[in-house]
Amino acid sequence: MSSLTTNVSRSILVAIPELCTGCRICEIRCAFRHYGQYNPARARIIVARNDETGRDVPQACRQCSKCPVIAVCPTSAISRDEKTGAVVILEEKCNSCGLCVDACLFHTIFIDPTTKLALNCDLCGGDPECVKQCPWKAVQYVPIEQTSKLNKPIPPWAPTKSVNVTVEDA
Amino acid sequence: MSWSAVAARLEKSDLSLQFKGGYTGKTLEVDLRNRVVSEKPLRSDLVDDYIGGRGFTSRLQYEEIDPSVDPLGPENILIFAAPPLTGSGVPCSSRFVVGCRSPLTGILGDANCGGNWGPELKFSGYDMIIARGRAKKPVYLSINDGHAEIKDADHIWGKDTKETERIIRKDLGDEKVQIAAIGQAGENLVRVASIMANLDHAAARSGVGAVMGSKKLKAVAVRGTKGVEVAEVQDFENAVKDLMQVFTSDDQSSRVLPGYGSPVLVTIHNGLGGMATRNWQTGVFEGVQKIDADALRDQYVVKARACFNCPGACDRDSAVRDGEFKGVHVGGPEYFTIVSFGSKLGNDNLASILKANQLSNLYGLDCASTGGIIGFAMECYEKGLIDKKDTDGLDLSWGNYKSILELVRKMAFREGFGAVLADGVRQAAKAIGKGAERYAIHVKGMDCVTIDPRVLKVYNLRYAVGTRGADHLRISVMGAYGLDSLPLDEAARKLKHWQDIVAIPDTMGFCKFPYIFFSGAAEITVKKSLTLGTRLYSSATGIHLTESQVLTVSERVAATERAHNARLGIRRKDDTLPRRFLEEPLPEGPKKGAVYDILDPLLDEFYKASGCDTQTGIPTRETLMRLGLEDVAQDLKSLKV
Repeated sequence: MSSLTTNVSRSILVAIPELCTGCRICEIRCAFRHYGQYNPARARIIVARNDETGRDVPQACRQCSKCPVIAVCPTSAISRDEKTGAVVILEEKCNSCGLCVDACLFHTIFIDPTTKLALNCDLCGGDPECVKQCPWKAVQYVPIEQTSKLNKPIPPWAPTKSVNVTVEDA
Repeated sequence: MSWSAVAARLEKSDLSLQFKGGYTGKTLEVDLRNRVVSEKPLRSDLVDDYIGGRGFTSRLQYEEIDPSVDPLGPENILIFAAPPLTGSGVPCSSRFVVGCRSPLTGILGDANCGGNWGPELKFSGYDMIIARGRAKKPVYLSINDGHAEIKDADHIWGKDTKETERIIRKDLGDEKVQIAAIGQAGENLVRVASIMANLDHAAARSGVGAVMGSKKLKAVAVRGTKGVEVAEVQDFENAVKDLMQVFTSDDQSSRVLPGYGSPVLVTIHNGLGGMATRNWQTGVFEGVQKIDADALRDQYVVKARACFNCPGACDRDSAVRDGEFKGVHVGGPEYFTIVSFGSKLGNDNLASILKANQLSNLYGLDCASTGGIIGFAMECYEKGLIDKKDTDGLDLSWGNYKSILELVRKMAFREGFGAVLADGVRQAAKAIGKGAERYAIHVKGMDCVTIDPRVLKVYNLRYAVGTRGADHLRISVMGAYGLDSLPLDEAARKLKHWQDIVAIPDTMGFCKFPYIFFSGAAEITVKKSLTLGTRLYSSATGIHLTESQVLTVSERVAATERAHNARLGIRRKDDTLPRRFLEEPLPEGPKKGAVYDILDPLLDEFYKASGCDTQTGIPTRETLMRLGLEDVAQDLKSLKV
């Protein structure tokens, strides 16, 4: 089987923007998990915060079945992890050309400002740190077949109107 | 302070010290007049004695701003300080402090702000920016990973904060740049102007936005990729874990804070009978249910939002979907905004409060002071001191929200009657005359914000003794609500102890809401801020402090601030409360009939507990010496203070 595509049943990261507060804890803990540093600029997940609209969207590699970046890498630094199905970049082979950054359909490959090497979510080997650390379950790690039926907890800021209906209303 | 005194102190400072973590070790000096930027090492003496943030801004104000300096003149300095833990792995480490002499009060000024700007300043490589002088024409400062540049701002002068952010992002071609900017209010030198970061986060109090406007500095844009180093990572991680354990096991920080944010206080304070209503004429608002946290949540809250690295998420993203204010969208409102544009003005139209909040953020106005000043004007109107001829035809009856919104705009642009109000409530009372001062509810020029002092007497001595005027943030802790039942001397000692605890977030860089205010019990507050704060600071910086050393820093900051104000003529007589609280009984509510009748005896005890002279309110020579402030003691002596 070519490493370009995968049919392996696997789990991926899914973001739920309405539960995301834009706190960036995922970014901070991602960078710490990988580098032991507190530096969101080295994170493999970012929260696209929009202060005008108030919308916050965590963004990380979707581990596409047909990942276009694997083929474009001239140094064959990018491959598919057999266990998790994650698209992983081998730092030793990466030559900082940035072709993968351009080829990614979702703009979720970043350049590490410290090493200038390409960064991609590696799902932490199947135990993603961002998922463990998100206070609101706004980033979840779910089997790909189940991404349409996510468990969305009711956050504490949700309206209570539906709970407090009067007898007449009911 | 004399140059020789400063020079003597600098002798003690190790300027080549390499900081192991927390601090970046660099200060950016900005000479606006000559358009020159330069980098200076962080002074180790400041770190040793003042930790950071408000400690730095207060010390530098003492050293550098001569008593004769006009707050809006070029000699005033404007300091942006990101404390050591800001931007680090510490939860809720979003804060930065802006310091300068206040154009609202004429004394010490500072304002504290969250969001993402403070952390980004650290990531860009600086602990502090010190801006001096006045630019010849409008400029903004752009900092990118240790490279700073002063850029022309003619094309953004006159724009609101949102438009300013859009244009600067486009100019710099970077969506991730974080921006702190003034709106039109700061440009127009409105003395309650704020500096807005990330659109909806405000360094608001003390009128710091007007000082930025006086310097013709429209914005500071920062971007950085350096992160924050930590000296002892394993100890630090352990402390973070212990802190998160306390956060998640306490209902106040894990459920109430994200569930309601600060608006939860509307119900609490109204229940106590101390919610500022119609310019503090009463403490109970009949329309409270229309503007409380439930009303906000059920009608307008879209989502909670959080500052950098905060699991608490007290910020609201609110939108009005229909009716007269359809389309209004704002980050907020906070509790004090709801009171200041709501009950304080007899206004129960919550959507209009959101609109006032939005306008204040766009123009760059302190919501608290702006609402407070309008409340003063409304009472003057009610009492017949002013009428429509004075107000440009506006009907200032209580609750007239159309007039309120128009006044917000007029204040920002100093238009007509707005120009009278734009200089703050104390000056407005002078301009109106006819005894209007009676309705100006302020201390040292800064208006009171949150809860009526007649309800929680000991706690609210904070308005009288606050070093930047009537201040609700120097002592802001629910654990101190119960002090009224104690003998005055014991109550005063506890209040002073709380003042030292509450200063820790200001100097270290984490947020007061989750660490201090929203705690299930007083012991939890102390554990988070003092015990864990000390561990976090020590492991982050490698500078090992004991809890008692941290409290001594807090004392030193407060003593420096009091000495600073003493040099400007502030004495015990100024540590007072508005006449309304001292003389008028609360007309209704659970504390009906209460007046603030303990000011003098409580002040005596508070001064004793703080090591201040009971006649003058100035820190005694012994206190200053004990805190290692010989130079301040010497300075006060030479000035015959």
